[in-house]
Amino acid sequence: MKVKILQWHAVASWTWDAHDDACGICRMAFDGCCPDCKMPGDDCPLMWGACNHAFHLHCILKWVNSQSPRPQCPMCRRDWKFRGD
Amino acid sequence: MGENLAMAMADSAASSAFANLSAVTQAWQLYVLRASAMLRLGSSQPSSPPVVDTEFDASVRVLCEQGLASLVVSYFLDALEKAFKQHEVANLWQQLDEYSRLKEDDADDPGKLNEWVQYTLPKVLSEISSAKLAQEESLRMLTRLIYHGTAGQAVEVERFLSQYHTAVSALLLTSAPQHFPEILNLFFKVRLEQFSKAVRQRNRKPPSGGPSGDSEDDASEGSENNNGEDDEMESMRSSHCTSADDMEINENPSENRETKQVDDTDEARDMEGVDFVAVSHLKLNAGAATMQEVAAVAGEEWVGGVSSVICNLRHIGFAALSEEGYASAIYSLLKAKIHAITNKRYEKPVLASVRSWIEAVPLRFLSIILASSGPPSSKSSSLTFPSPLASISIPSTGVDEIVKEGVVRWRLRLHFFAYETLGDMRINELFDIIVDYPESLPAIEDLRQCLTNTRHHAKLVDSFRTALRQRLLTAGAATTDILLQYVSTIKALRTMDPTGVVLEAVGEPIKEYLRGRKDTIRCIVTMLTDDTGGGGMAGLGGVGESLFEELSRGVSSLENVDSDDDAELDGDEAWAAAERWEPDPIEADPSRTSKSRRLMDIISMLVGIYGSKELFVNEYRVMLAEKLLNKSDYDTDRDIRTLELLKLRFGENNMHGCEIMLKDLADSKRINTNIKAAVAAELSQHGLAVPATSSDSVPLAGDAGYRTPTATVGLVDSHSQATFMQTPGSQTGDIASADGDRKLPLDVLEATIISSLFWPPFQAETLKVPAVVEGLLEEYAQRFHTIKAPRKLQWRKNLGTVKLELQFEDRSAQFVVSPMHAAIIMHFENQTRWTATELAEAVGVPVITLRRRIMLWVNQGVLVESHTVKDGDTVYNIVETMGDAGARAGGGAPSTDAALPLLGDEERESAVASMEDQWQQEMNVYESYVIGMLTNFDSLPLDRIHNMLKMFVSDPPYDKTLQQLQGFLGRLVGEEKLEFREGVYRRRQM
Repeated sequence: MKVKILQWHAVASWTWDAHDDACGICRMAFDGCCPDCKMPGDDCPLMWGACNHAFHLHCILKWVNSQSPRPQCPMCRRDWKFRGD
Repeated sequence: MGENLAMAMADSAASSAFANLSAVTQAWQLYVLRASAMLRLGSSQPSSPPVVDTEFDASVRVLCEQGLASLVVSYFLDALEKAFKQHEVANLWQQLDEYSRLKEDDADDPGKLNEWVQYTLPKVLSEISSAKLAQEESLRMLTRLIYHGTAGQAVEVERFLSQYHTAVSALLLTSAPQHFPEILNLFFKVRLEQFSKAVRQRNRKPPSGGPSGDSEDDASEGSENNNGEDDEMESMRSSHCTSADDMEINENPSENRETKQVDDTDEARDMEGVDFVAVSHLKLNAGAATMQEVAAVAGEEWVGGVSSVICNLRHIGFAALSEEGYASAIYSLLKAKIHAITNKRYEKPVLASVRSWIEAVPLRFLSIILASSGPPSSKSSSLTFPSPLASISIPSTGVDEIVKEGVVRWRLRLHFFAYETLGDMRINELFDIIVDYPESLPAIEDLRQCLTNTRHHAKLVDSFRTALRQRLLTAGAATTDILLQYVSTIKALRTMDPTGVVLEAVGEPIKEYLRGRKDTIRCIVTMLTDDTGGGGMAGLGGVGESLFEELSRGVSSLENVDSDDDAELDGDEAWAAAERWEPDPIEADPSRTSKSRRLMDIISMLVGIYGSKELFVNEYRVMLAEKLLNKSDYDTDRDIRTLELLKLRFGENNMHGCEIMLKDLADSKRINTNIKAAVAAELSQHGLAVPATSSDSVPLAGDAGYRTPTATVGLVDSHSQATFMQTPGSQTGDIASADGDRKLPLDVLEATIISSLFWPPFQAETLKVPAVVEGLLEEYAQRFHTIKAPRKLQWRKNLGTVKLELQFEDRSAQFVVSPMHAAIIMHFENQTRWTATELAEAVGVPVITLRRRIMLWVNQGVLVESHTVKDGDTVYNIVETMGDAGARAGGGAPSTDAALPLLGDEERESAVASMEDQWQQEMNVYESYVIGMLTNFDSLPLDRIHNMLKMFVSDPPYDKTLQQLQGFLGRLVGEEKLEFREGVYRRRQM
């Protein structure tokens, strides 16, 4: 007998793979969205700092803007730099 | 007696004129003698006028001169009465005595009895009536003799006559045998039936009797006949025409009526205008129906018979009794008619027909009777109508007026009776009426009219509640049926009672019952969102659709209930609203406002069964998730529309999760297209010859939703050089199997990528998919990661659908199954024989699960189940040829149809954890608390456990009810973790 797969409709869930559950600022789940957003995923992405701490983009931007001129990571208090910059 | 009187007279006379004593005595004796002779004579020859002889004359005169006039008259009256009693009354009852004998003899043959009544009653009545007439005449003669020439002669005559009349009536009434009312009743019944039949016959043939207006008649009758299927109905309907006909007759001035008839008619019209708003103009003249036109219908003889009987009855003082007789005959006929035409039929309005029938038959019958009862003096008019229903008083000036007034009162009475009878009937049948709801709307409209007249709402509520309890709210009724009936009930009662009070009272038991059913919410959601006429719910498609329509209609009512919209009205409108205000009906529940009652639409009422929308929303989310996960295309148009409607109703926030779910589907579709496009692009870069059509077809397939693989195969096959891209055609399959480690093209894989946080929890189930598919999944995930970095995919391998084709040596078959089924069957590709244990290991699920799931393939005749001898393990073998299947599985024919049902739907548990499962998960948190408690306290009653949980469990806060806790503890008892004895729970000692 041969099995011929005509179509395999699979189901998957996505994750940010942030090695943590919730954003350190808003305490909402990473895979959810920040309090200001309605839609998770592309509309509310994550941002990693050089210290490898991740936050919702909107959360960390707010934080960084309020912390100028020298923003620090809310988790480890090191100077905040976006990863990959 | 004569001596006594003589003595008394002697005493009185002694003082004044003793000398005349002998003369007076002589005269008295003579008078007595003559009077009794005359009376005897009168009775033997009733028709002859009483003979006035001189001796009698003289003796009376002598007595009068002595001032004994009153004595003379009272003796005469006494004598009359005695004679009447001895001869006439005895004779009358004797003749009628035969009735009871006949009744017993011919109990089963009423015809003979009827005949006898029809013959005898008029005869004996006329006999006794004429006897009475003769006596009256002699009395009148006597009084005339006595009071001759005096001023008060006429008054005296009247006085004595009425005295006589009363005495005779009393005599007759007291001596009447018990069956006399029965006889009367029977008589009128038969006559009425004859008349009714005559009317019907006349209506059936084209009306020829009408002197004018024939053409109009024909036209209207023709149109009536179109929808009259039934004899009765037809006769009722066409009786409209007859009435019209009658009207024409009546307005013909050649009738022998007084010239003031026109005025009378106008008066009658005004009167009716007040009392009957809805009654057509046709009956305008019914009150004045003449003898002639009834005679034209039923024959002169018939009219004569009835009216003479009525006259005679009235004459001998039986007016009340006769009224009772014909009233009960009319009522019973009316009742029978109503029952006959309304029985179990709800598609036609009957009230109008009944009304016109009342006009056509009973009222005309009554007009005869009432006309025969006249001409009453103004005094006796109250006697003719002893039970005035309406407070209309018309100065009675003549027969016509009396008849008209009587007819009006009777009309009121009959209409009320019809309303009551029909209403009661419909109330008793209300359940069936509502079962047929949209078709039975006319019946409901009838009932509404009846109820506005009779105010039997309380009765309706009682009766309908009982019917519901007996017929609907039983364990045997399916929840969907109950819901459907509830919806129909809501709609029907809305029509009937716009205030919603009845509905409120009736709906309460249904709601309460539905609250006790587990699947209520699920059913409501299904009904609300069901695809029109789709799939397994075909039977409910109609109503499901109507609910869906309901959903799209009643928008935002739920949100506005609390807002006070009176405030938005400006002065004039507010004033108008205040003018319109009406108090709630007396039955209304005072704790609810009438506004809330009116604003509730069907959806709100259904959702309101549970009192909150959260439960409903959650269930909808679960069902939506299930539905979306089982989709193999990404088509969500309908769901989006439903969701938009639900959002309007339940508010955006409540529906947020569902919105994300739908967005996930749309995103998945896009990602899928992108990935496929990327693959195609890579392929073309690698220089592999990809036909233009084929590369086009990939993004197209994504855009245009799901393209069936067979279509793709068709496309690809036409370009034979396509190799890698092909969905497995037979060639590729062969090549792949030759490779041993074959590769599936990424094309066959599609994915729904979900934001797991916003979906309901899934049934966690491990599944190892075959390596081929695993590789595919990894590749897909990798591609996703490149597109959507840094996001990653986590496969839920047990979810989704697989469409596959099994190719055997002699046949092939396509199936749509769950991934687990696919994984199972794919293992048989390389190895035709698996034991259950090994296979479970390979698939990565418990043996029990495997054995349950594999039944699908066994049932399809693909696998054969057998048992090994040594260790009892189950062994599955592939059935390679049909011959095999026939021999070993007993001919389980594999399905080869192209329809491709999604197999295993029934036995497959839903992928999404149901609300109940979720609830149990929640409760499981408390297990350790309870066990700990019972370790410390040894034993505890339910409420202590409940209170302690409330006190100690704060994260998440304990919010369960006592009943829920009881259920949970009951489950723990069932699992033998606890035991329950003497009202307390304790740990089970191991």
